Amino acid sequence: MLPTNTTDTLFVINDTHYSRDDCQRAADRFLSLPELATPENTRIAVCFQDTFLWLALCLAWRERGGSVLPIHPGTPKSAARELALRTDCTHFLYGDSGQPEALPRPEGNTPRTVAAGGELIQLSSGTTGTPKPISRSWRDIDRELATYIRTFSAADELTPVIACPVTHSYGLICGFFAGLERGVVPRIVTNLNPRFILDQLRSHPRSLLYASPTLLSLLLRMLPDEQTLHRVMVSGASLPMPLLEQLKARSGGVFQQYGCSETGCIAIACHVAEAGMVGTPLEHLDVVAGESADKPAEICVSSGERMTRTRDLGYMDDHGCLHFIARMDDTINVAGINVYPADVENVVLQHPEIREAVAWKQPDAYAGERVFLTFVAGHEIDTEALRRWCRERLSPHQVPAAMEQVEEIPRLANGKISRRYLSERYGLSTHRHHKETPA
Amino acid sequence: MSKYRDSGGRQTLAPITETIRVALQRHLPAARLDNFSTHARLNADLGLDSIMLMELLVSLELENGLSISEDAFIGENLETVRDLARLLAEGQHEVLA
Repeated sequence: MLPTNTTDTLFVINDTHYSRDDCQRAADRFLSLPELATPENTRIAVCFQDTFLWLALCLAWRERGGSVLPIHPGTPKSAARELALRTDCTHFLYGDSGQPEALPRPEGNTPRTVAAGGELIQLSSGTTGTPKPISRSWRDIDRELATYIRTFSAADELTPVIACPVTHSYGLICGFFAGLERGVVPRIVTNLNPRFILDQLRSHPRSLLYASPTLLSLLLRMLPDEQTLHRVMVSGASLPMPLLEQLKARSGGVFQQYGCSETGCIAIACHVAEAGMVGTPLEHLDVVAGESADKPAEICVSSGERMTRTRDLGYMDDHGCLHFIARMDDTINVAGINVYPADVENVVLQHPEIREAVAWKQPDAYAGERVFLTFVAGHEIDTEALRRWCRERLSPHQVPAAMEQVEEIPRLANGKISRRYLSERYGLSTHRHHKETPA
Repeated sequence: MSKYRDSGGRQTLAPITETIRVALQRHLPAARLDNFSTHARLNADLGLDSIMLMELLVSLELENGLSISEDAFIGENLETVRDLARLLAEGQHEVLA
């Protein structure tokens, strides 16, 4: 389905069009270097500022069965090199100079074997914030793409507007590769100007926007009354209910997909009735979960011989639709009753003053664990009044035992909110320092 | 008459820079404001990542009416507070012109 003419636009980054020839020329520059002449024998770590260079290289390595680890642009060189070493890469490319550095093998290590057929190496942030390398063969990714496209036929004629990193599998595989396979022209947006992004969406009325929940909520704030988003894809199964409702009101349709670095996309929902509804599992996967909302179980995914335990709790409904309930690590066991953070957060978020809320657990001498709440609000909130408000709307074990109002929810270095991090952080210092905390 | 122009109608960056500082203080408590100056680098000195930068732009537009033209590219080209102030000043200019 790729354009037949090699000078036709293959994809667009911001406003610049790139053809297959452009990609070939850029890739040839790398392939002409003796170190990189045979991609199938290399495992390269790539940290480029220039998104086009990364995509051109990625396409060439995929085609020739080379292995590649993309590193998010802007990562400091020493940190990027460290990741390259830790993932056992043969070469490290940094900046846009394209000059590869041959990496030494860790001492005492057995000779490196480069996976036959090549793989895409991803770093999963996990809940601890320490990145863990996960490799997937290109063949496995091809299989994912084939069923992703078949299952997600609602996107067939849509223009993917990818406003999330294409160094990450979500943007790269589901946004960029899937768009190319469908024969449409994917549009990648790296420009952080929100008005530019809205303009792109206006100029492509049949767009499918891939973006993070944070970006979506920022765009919604800027969205002119007369404009709506055509179609929106959300991922991660942690979308706060008010954001989902707002997105539905201001768009022609919200899709949701669920996945993990090990298997890629697991399920996709074309009608998202509630935040945890992640949809039909892709047909090449065998997905096992709990039988009902009252009896959730860990979502386990098999693909061939490989089984992945997601550490997520969920269930499959009578229509074969998968529902995500919570990360297992985030589930709060209050005196034997499971409390799921989203159930608490979605109620608290109905409070007119509260903008953000995260529920997390703390050990408790009597109950085993208790619900704690960190929230952001427009004004200072009287926590006693808030607790009374919660008591009227939540069951007793769901009512937060302690609440803290903050100006911003503390995040991991990668910008993600981690309930585990909030728990550990609280465990370390029981009272909050104000402002003066040194960076 | 804009508060972002002096009596001669010339643009001055000082009020915009101050507006940026106040917006950071109000909306991005994680920013390292002690490092704030016109020459402070948004990422390296103030600790703003891409999403924080977007949050800043959105609040500057919605609360201070300081908008950036939709054609403007914001990425690695935007390094310091001064770069941002200039871009915002240009946006003002377009609106008034």
